[in-house]
Amino acid sequence: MKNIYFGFQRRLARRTLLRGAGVALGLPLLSAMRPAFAGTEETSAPRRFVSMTLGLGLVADNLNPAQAGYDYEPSPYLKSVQDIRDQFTVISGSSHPGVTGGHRAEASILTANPVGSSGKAKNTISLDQHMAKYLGNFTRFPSLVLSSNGSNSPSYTENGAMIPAENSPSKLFTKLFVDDAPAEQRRQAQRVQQGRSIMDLVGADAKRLARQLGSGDRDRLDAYYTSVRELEQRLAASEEWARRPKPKVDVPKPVDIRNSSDFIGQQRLMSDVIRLALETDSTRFISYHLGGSGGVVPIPGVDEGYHSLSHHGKDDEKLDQLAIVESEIIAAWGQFLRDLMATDEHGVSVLENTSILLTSNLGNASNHDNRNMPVLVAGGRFRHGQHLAFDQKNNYPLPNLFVNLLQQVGLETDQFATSTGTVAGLETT
Amino acid sequence: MTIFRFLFVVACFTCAQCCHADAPAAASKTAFLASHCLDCHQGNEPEAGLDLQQLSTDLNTPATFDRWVTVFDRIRAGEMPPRDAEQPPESETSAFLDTTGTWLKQHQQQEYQQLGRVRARRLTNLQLERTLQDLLGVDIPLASLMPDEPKTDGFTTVAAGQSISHFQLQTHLAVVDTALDEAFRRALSKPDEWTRSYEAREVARKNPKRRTREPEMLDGRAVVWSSKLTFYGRLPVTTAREDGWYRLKVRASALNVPDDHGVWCTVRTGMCVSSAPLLAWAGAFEAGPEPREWTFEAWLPRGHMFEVRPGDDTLKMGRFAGGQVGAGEGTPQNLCGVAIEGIELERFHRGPDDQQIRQWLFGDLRLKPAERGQDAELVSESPRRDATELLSRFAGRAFRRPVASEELQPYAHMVHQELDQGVPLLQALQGGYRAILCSPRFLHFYEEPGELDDYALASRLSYLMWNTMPDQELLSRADRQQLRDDGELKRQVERMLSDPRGAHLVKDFAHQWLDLSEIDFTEPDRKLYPGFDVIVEESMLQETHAFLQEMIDRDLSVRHLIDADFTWLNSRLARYYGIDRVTGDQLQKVELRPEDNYGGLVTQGAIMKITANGTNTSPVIRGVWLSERLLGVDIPPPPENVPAIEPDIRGARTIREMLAKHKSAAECASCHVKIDPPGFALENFDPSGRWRDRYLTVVKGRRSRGPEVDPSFDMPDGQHFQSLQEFQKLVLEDDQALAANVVRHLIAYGTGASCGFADRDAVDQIVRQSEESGYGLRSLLTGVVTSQLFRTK
Repeated sequence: MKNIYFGFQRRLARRTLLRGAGVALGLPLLSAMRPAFAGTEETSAPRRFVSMTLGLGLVADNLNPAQAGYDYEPSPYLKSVQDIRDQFTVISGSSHPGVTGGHRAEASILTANPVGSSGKAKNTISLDQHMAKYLGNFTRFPSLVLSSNGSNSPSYTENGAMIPAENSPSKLFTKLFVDDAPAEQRRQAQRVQQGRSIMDLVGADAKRLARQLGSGDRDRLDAYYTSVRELEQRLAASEEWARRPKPKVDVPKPVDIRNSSDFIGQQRLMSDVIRLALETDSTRFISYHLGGSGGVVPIPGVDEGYHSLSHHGKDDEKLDQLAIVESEIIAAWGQFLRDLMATDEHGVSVLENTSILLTSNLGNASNHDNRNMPVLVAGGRFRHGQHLAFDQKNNYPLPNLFVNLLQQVGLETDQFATSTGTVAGLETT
Repeated sequence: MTIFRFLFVVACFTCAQCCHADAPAAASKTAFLASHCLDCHQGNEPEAGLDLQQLSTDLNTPATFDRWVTVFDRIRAGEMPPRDAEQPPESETSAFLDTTGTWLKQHQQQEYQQLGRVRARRLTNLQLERTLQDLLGVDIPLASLMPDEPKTDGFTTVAAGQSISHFQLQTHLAVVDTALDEAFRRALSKPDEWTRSYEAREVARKNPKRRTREPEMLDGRAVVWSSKLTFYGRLPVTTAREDGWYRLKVRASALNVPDDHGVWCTVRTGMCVSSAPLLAWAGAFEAGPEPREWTFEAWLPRGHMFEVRPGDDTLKMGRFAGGQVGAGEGTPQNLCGVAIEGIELERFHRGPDDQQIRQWLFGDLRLKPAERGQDAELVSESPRRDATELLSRFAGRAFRRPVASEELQPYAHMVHQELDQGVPLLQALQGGYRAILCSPRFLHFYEEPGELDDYALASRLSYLMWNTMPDQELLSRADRQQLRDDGELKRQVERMLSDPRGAHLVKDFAHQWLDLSEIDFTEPDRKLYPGFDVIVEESMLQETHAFLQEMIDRDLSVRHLIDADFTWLNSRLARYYGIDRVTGDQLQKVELRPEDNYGGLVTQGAIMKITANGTNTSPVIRGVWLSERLLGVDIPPPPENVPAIEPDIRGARTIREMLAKHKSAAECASCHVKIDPPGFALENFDPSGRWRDRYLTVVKGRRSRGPEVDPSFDMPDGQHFQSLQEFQKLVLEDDQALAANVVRHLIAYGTGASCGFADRDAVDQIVRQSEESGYGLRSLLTGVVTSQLFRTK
């Protein structure tokens, strides 16, 4: 971690002190407690993933540096994050193969499935949910699906149904850090506890059934029995979560921003709660959708609606105003990264344990082009600091990056959607 | 000692051990292989990777068993030794086939007797959904909450590929809770059905000056013009406040009706915003100049709404700037449109009413409804006794057989414990039901080795026919031990087919057998294949369903799969096929003429679309698919070191040439000689299921005529065909093979295990039995159900 942030970090660390069971506990201890839950032991530092997806894209010329490689000249949008340029990678010239449909490709951002163009009834699993499916059981919440506005999200279940997003930072804060009413807590715990008794019961019944049905069925019923045992252990863990007080953070509950046009304010506020969720290890997989609002973003120099600005039609006046908004988006994103860098966990920063993807379905919002998606990847244990420039005309498959990200959180896989491998040139440290 | 001699010794030894075949038989088998096969199949690089010296005779290893079956089949089919090699005398061949066949068969039969053909089969997602719905009386979708399941040999029902993990079990628990919560909600609350009517003005946009995607008012009707604009025609007034089934009645006519047909419209559902673009199909109708009424039913999650709009891709499309439509902008463009006079929206339930649900959950116990902060309560003088009684009844239905008291005991014990802890009867019961629905006795088929008992047979039959639990009639026949009688089984098949649920069989089976569930997997390239739209696609699916249903209903011969002089069409699909004598939006039976080019399931749009990738066709892909699904020819997977052939959009000359090369290379030819004929015979059908005489080519982004389609090819036995019709005629010479193929698929689907080597005689017998009916589909189905294969674990 860089020295210049040292002071900042200490202040943050104090702010996020946890007070469980009447004793003040630091963050690492919370993780250290976890092996007490049977079946959820883990040996290495947690690996996390946050996607931040924009509904209206970012103007490519302002975002992507002119040069490829490590020695690129900062583009206009990247000027505000030069102090942390070794913490992220810019990828240009990539997109999801076959995905079209303009705004409707929002459904494909994290699934890479060309679903929006044809009005299909089903999508496929999104990157974040794929991770949560395998690794979501280590935390109180397997994943969080969030948005700035409305309840739509780019997160889809294994069966291709959209997961509605939480758009209120204050409600999210309550969910993360305020304990449920005792009655509700009891009801939850009861259900889980009953689930455990049921698993005990049907496990024993599977043994009896195997004896009745003979050796041909035994292997399969044994597998059933094993699944029952494993689920029982997981339920024990979630029962433990239900009983255990939620982590306490030393910050007041945020007040939601009423002005639905305050795109940047919403982004900063939600990013703050996301940071708290990561620091307390409440979840490890978060998708945050920043859909385009129609209103005028309250920043000096901007007097036209954000959506209308995105349809700039190369009008200089509009482009100038759009650049003001989009620079702020990147600046707020940069601040989020700095905040994560400043929190220590297992001797490294939370940012190092967290891969962060900023992208959008629109490579060019003005003409609704889904190619050349804007892509910034930060954190995780990647060797950052470069601009990976792929072919603007013949795009590189972005799902390859998703494979990198899957591997980064610890899933041994070499395939996601239309991937053809991992990203050439993106190395891990 | 050579390895081969070693193998010889092992062979004798193993045979003596496991199937009591005598040593001379094993010796003749080995001698045959040694003198006719070993020349090529040994050493460092044996032909086809088969080194007979290394082939073990331990049939307990499935891979070894399969290898031997392949050896047997290739020799029996006369494919080996190859034609250009010296041929063994017929007597030697038949002796080899005899001993080897018996050896393989006896081994497998013995295994079946001990362990069963089908082992620990479990309910599929669809079966779980329907069973929970029938058991509890609820109508909410449940399969969509479950993780995807793999297909084995084409079917999710095949037990060998079914798996279970803690993740699946966890989702199962969640699904059970969702179903139980809904059942208890229905049982404990007031009815939630309602009906509302809306006039055109209420359906149309609220502010006539605003440019939006809702209908506009024109002459007292709510109008949507033909356009490609997404979500145009959405009806916010239909937005669901709660998840549920909704019935939409639309009264509408068409504007600017074309001379030769009406205006086909789609009815779909969704959130209808760009950030949530998924749209589910609810139906279609053809509006004409006079107003008519249509009814559609759809499951709407909260926040979803109906969208009604012209959906015929061949209509002139309106142009509207900025993705919105202003009132009056469509009129001057002279577009077709749909004019809605009014709608009626009804929230309804499928299946039983609330009273029936209460009866299933609570029997005759009186229910004290919830009031003033008090939860609802069951009135019982003896909660423990009543709980046991209700659990026993519920378990009997859930486990699909009578439940012995010791089997019920752990479940009753759990509920009794909760009652003792002061948990109210109502909640304790829900817990007990929850446990029963997580039981392996609910999730699995209860089948003991040997002949199935009446209850196991009732379940197997019910899940084959309806994919749900046996109904009262089946269970009471099982109670009286009447099901193991041929006549009774046949009567039950008849009864179940004529039941409203009888239509499930064809749809569910064809969904997997013919991959019909994949119909929307690709979208035909709109530039190359204009006019293909969702209505055409959906109509194709209906065509194939109706065709198969008629084959079942009228016991039509399997020959209809290859050729037929009729099909089922509506006016839209007929127009897409280039058949111009069909009117109306109802599916109707249409006599086909030779010049129509269509005939037989194999030519239907759904099949042709599923076997192509949307942009082009490949004779290889179609050939393999048709061989395996319809012709009953098993094609082994391609060798790993051979790259796939990519069809070339510039014309099939190249692919024909590429495949011709295959024919000349012996190791390719052995498979491609079977694969390529059906593939080429159907080249006249483009990826969207439409007839073509010429390929299309794309030159500088524009569509233009390419080379002529040449469907001619040689059958594996060398007979030449010049056209699709000639191919059909050649295939129909062996209708027994077509029948056997259907039987094998039905057996795999209906019993939960693919047909093994030892099942071949049984399959042949079923086929022979149906010869009199000309191998009618209904006869084959009945033959399957009454066969020993179906009646044994």
